[in-house]
Amino acid sequence: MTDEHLPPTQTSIDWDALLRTLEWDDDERRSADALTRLSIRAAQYAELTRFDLQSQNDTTICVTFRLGTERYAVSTDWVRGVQAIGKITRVPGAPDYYPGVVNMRGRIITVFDLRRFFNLEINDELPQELVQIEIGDLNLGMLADHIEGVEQILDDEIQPIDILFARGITSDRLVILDLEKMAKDARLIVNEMDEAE
Amino acid sequence: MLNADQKLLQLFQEEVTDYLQALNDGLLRIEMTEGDERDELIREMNRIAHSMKGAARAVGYGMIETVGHAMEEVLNRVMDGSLALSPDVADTLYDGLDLITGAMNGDEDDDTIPDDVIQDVVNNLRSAAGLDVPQASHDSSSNGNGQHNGAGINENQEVPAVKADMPLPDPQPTAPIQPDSNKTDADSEHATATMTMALRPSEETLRVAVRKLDHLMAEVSELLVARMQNDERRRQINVVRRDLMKWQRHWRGVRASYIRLVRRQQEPDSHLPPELVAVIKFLETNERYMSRITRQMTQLGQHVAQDNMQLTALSDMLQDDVASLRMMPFEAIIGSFQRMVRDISREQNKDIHLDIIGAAVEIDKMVLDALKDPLVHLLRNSIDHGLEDGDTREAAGKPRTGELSLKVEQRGSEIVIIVSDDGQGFDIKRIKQKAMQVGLITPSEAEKLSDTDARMLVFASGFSTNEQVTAISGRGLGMDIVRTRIESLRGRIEVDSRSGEGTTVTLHVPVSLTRIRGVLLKVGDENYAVPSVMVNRMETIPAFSIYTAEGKEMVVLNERPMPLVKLGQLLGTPDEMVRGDTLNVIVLQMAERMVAFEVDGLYSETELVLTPLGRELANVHFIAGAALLGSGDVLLVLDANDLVRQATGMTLPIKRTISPLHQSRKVTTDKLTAMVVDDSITTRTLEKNILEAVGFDVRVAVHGEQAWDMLTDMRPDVIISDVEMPYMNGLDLARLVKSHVHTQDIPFILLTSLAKPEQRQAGLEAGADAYLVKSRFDQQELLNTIQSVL
Repeated sequence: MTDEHLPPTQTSIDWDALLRTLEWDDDERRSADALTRLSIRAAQYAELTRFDLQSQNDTTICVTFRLGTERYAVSTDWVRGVQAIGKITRVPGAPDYYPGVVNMRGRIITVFDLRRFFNLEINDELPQELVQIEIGDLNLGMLADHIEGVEQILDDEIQPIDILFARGITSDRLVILDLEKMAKDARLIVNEMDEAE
Repeated sequence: MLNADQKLLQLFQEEVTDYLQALNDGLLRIEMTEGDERDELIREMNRIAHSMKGAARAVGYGMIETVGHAMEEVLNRVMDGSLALSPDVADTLYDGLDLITGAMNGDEDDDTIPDDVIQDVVNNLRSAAGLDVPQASHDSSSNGNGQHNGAGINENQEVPAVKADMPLPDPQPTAPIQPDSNKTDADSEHATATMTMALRPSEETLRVAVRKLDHLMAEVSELLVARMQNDERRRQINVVRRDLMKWQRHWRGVRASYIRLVRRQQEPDSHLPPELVAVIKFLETNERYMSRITRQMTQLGQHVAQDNMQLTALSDMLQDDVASLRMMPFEAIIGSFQRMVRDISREQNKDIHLDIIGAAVEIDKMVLDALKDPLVHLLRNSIDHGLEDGDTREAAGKPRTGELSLKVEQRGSEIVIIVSDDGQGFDIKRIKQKAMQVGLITPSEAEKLSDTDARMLVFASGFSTNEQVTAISGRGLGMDIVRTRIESLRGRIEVDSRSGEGTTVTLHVPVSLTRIRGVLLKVGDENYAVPSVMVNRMETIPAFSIYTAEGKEMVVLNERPMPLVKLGQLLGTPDEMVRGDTLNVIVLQMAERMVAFEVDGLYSETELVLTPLGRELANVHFIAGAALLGSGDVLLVLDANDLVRQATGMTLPIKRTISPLHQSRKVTTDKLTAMVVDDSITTRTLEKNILEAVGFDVRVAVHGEQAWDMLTDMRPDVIISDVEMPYMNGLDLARLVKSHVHTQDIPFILLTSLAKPEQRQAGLEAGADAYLVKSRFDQQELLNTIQSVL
């Protein structure tokens, strides 16, 4: 590189030409880059279709996440998106499993803390990620320490367990949540009348 | 899915609804116009009645066809001057409209409305039209054509009405269908196209589901947030540009040294090391790049700013336009008010003139819908309790005609509705007495109570001046509804009344439930907003001005003592600030109650797009909803009514979502059982239809005794009974039901044609929960009443 920039005479460099070269270079690199990304995405889409076809039988596609020491999975049927938590606005008078509301892509969503709802052990730190779930007219942002990704779980692998809101658990201790069951819990709808009585 | 026929019927229904509205409006206007305008109006109405008849014939609605025809007949006579449109004649026309409206609203085929009702209305219309009265009474026997026999009953035999081109001798007493048919049919060709022209300005319209508009509105709100974020990007670009300029300044500082280096390097015998020469070369390039990037950044900043401005203008416009889609003129609800006032005042033999100002003011449809009931109650209350009859007025030195006015005006983002009358005003003494009677206040409280506070008692639940029980009051419902409804709109009420001179009730409501102006304030580390419409004043006051009463902190602001409450404490905000020499207070007002709230900071007023919280948090007290700020953060909007209630020790009401009426009605009428007791098959069937249409399971009894027998095996959720019936009348039934332990909880509504105050009084004394008068029987009123007693 140094050598290229060491021409024999000092004033003979055509800087404009050089710049043009550089920009041309830029464009080419950019288009090459774009092509690569496109092909990767195309491959991903292709992958996804095959994945879908495979998954039609007896599997559940879930978003999996870590919360405290436990791992949970929620069927993608209920998941509307994920995001980092952002700024939480506390709602005075709301129960502790509703630590506040956040902005999720322009919508105001109530944050839902499963740890408090399940009475899990709690460290003070608030999990930093959110899984937006929608069950009927209920729209909540479920707190997660870390969202792992999307997993295809064979239904055969899910061992039914008799705990409140789970459909079952897999051999690697992934708890498959049943949100429909959970949505029926009366605690989810805050009703001040009950408190008053 | 609708099949073609159902679609046709639906279309027909919409069409007829428009016709009915136009005719109703027309009738009201006729009473106020004269000369050519009046003639034109009558012609137009005649045309509409004719079109309605035609449309009804098309879908086989015999009843509407017959009634429509009879109305047309009357209007024909009025048009050619042979009949004056007296109030009595107008009444027959109104009856016709009501009958058709009933059939349309009942969503039922006309054959469910008993023939005798139809026949009555038709006969009345005919006799009004001057088709000799005796003729009308034995109309069927003397009818030469035979086909007109029981025209109202057998809809499909109404064929002759089509054959309009048959010229017939004009005064055609026996066949009421054909006279003037040449003229009217010729007109009707145009009539279908220009049907309502003269009556309302017509613009092409499209019916769109409100849900779709709501979606649109939500998306526009998101666009607004996106726009604000874009604004943020512009600021970030500016920051980068400033950094670049700093960099450039820095470069200019060392540029002299650089130039010296270049010169040295250019000297023929310079022996600069090649590394340094390379750096010098690079610096030359670097300088060009730097100035170019700075230039580009400046340009980019300008472009983004331009784009942002354009986007702002467009999104603001879009937001306004979308918001205006939801806006409707007040006219949409007050159209029926003239009629209502006319009906009630006629019934009470009062002479009342209703003046409506500002009908064109536009307001969010959701707010508008919620305002209808409160306004009906306020107007009715003015007629029932405020305005005196002519003689009393004259004796008091007032003009015979009572003035009732409804004024609507927009003040900023607030709609102010003023309902005033020049009647007798509130009788504070009587109000206090009544409030004590029903246990709202104690005698000692009554003594201390200021006049303004006493007036507000009228709006308390359970209050009603029952010395003069009105059609649907009796349980203190009316005014209570006004208050709760206005509060659910985040609005407020003010009452001013002078004994003997009149009463003015002022409602303040926001123009829109989604776009509000709010005052930003700080409590602890958290920011909140309060709807500006609820804010009375904001002030910084010295700490020494606080005093205590019964251990509670008070302040006097604007010469009014009021409690001082720490907002943080009420909201349970953790950290408590130590009070300095001065404190910031914001005075919130709910009706006549004012409370000063101490806050840690008060900021500017701002426009907010209010979104209710999700269902899970909708019942949390003190929170009206939330709004997104430009930063993307969520700001909570406080419910000022709740705050004032809590601060003044009132019980907090159950929260309701906006537009509670429709939802809760659905819920409350779901599979409920109603018992209808009436000896008239007409009324029975009508009521049954109405109730079944909204989901009631209806059981009918012909008289009180039968009803009482039926009550041994069933327990309806509501009983609706006539008063005058054979075997056991409604009053006796009410007494029986209310005295029996198993049935006394069943709400009992008397629905009767007996409209005299003493008769109402007797009904309520018998234990009825509500008393409805049939003559102004409308199904909405019945349903509202049922809902209120359930």
